[in-house]
Amino acid sequence: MKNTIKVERAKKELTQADLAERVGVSRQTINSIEKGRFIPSTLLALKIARVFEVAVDSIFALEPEDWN
Amino acid sequence: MAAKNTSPVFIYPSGMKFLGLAMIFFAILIFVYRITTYNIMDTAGASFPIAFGLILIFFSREKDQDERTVYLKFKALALGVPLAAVITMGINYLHNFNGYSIETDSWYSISAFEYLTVALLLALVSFYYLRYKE
Repeated sequence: MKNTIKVERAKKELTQADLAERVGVSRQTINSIEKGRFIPSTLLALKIARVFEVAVDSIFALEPEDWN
Repeated sequence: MAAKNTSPVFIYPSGMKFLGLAMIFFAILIFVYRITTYNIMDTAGASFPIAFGLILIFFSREKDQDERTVYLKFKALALGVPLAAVITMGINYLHNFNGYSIETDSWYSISAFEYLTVALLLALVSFYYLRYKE
């Protein structure tokens, strides 16, 4: 699953630590999500989308291999 | 929706890690004391408090606990438990395989607490490695 968290962070001028604090997780967790190593729960994805004021599916998108 | 949906998974507060460390420290002290004083090497006896100490350390909440740490702990257990089973079989085969005991009607094996100690040690090492790497 790919995501645009890094782009959205840049738009809002938020660091990973800022975003982590806003959604209540560690900075390492945001870093892992950004790099695609960790898939967040629905709850966390919704919180991230709320911070960026966009829809969840404009941040997170499925890739063909996610269907395998 | 609950704010922290992962909190009920690890029920012990993070301070319980210190109690776990103290249990392990005293278990090792007693283990060494019994070897040096009485020449008794009781790994099964020492593994009981060590296993409990490791349970407290592993299943206590992390200070920065979130859903990723819960995921990594599960992943670490998934690595540690089967690997410990393989190591246990290896130890039984190489060191404890004295054959069949008529008295106990069973094959010799290391104790459950020794197995638990190996499994939790591997899981703890895996967890901190995964947390650093991922």
